Amino acid sequence: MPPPVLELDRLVVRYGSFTALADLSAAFEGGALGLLGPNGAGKSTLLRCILGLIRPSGGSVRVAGQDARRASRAVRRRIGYMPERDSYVPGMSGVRALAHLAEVCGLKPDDAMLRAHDVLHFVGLGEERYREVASYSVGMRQRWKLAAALVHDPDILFLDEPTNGLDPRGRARMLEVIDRVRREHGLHLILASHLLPDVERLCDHVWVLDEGRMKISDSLASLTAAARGAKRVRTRPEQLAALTEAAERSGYSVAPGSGDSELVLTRGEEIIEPAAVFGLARQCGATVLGVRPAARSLEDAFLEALESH
Amino acid sequence: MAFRAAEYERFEGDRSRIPAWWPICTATWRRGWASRWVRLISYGTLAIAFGITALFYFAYQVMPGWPALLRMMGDEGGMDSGFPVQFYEGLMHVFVYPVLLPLSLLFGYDLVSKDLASNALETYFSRPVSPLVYVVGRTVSYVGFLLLVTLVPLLWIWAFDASTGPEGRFEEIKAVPLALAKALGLVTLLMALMVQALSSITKSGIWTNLVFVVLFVFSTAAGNILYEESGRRVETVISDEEIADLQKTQDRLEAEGHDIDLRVPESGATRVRWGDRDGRLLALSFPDCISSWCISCIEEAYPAEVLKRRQERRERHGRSERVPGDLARDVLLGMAAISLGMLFLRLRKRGMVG
Repeated sequence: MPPPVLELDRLVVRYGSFTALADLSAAFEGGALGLLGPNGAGKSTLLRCILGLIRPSGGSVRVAGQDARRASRAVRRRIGYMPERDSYVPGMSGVRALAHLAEVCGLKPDDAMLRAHDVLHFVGLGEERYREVASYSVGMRQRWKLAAALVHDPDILFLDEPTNGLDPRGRARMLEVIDRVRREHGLHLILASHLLPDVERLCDHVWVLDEGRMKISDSLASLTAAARGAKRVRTRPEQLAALTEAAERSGYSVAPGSGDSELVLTRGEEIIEPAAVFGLARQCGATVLGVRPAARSLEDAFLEALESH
Repeated sequence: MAFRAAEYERFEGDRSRIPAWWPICTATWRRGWASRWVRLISYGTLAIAFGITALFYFAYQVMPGWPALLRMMGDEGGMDSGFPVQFYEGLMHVFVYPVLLPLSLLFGYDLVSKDLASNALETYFSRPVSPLVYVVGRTVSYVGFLLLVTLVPLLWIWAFDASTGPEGRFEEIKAVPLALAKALGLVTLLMALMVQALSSITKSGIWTNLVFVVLFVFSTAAGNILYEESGRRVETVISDEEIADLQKTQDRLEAEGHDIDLRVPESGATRVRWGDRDGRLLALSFPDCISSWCISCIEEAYPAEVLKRRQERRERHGRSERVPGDLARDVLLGMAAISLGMLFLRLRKRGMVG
């Protein structure tokens, strides 16, 4: 069995007296991981630890079984990193700069140039490849950065806010390209983003960080499973208490819905059928005015996780 | 992977064993060479080298008596008879001041500052490139280029001189290549590290140039002012031999019918001069250190008796004239070490390496 793609073991990073990452332990077996958290949550610090750029104060980071600090060069050779900020090699055309970065990662000059051309075509910059990167538009630079992350053929892609500054069409195209690379070529993806729909679209696993602590480490399916099965039930305000009591007696978890006449029913990962809701209403003599899926999104789960501690 | 494939494909070729600093080195070279001024000065140095070899050809093949004439003129003018080596001392200064210093700035004034402005360091350091690899790549290219446009033309001139010169010329100048390599090796390393360090703390290449010029001017001024201030009034008795020599010359001039009064002093007369300056204070001036280091290296190629004469002349004039060679070397090495440290600190800070 291959080692996890990313493994944090009691990871601690301190800057002086400030603790940026506190005792993080988690494992990412592979696929696509969404790294979420508010500003200052520790995402960038974690990223730098993964890249072996900063020394942890305690614990360790292992990437594909290798210690990120001790074998940092080998680890970085396997990672394709797309930074959030504009980042390019100045004074070179798009294709020359990309070939240069591929050479730095160990490709032979001819192979590097050939691959630079191909990757630029793949991300849709084929016609612009002889222009200096500095002259690219925001969207083109984002695509160039993705190409730079891919050019040395990494096994793991680390993308930091890849759709920043893109218009809706550009964003859709970028997500599609990332999704294709991941699904068709088996690259593992770690995506740090504030845009939760992007994470929902691309990732199958989520880590939520807040104040340097791991709030959630779970699969997206599991996080939203309860939400998919849950139902929002609307009844008369005076019958809400009776319906709540009947539901709790039958083993449902009950959460308040919006207004004074709605409640949210969940029972583990079970998908609650409308017939069961009507059964409950019959038991307590309540009138059901409406039943609809609770439709909890990743955003709901994210906000709940941040507010729950 | 097919050329112009619109699909992404995994790379299946072999990886190269070339170290990561090598592509950085070649890219640095290309970036430097892209400057029109760099190309212009580089071609200029080649032109100087070919011009001088043409002069040598003229002197040795067309007018063979010319070098002897030059040497005689030098002796008459009180210059050292170690003329062949002294020629390289002068030539090295030509290649250091008007060539090496400006070229150092032109080649790398924006090398690091542009990388900082475009966040290229983040791109590099997220790959198998450490700050050390980055500095090695940049510096090897930098030093290599500077040596190519200074040391190589000088060696070309030397090789021509040694192979076509008169009998015994090779023996006279055989130690010159090593001295040149030693002198220019340290100076180019210092310049490469210093310009990169300045480039790493300034916002743009223009600021790098400005800071360098300010450092150059202030350092030279501070060193020379303190050096002059360290002098004192010295009164010495003029030796009888010197008076006798002067009297002999006066007699000869009169015998030849010249109406020139050399004002021969009487025995026991004194000479007043401003002297005993402390050459170590010139170490504050890094251009003086560069000059002294170059001279002290080339002096190793001089015959012992010429060196002795030079030393006597310096003492006679009561001034050390330059920074002692060892001190100059230590100052240059110290500056190179400080530049390297500064560069590393900036790279680690701005490249997010902790």
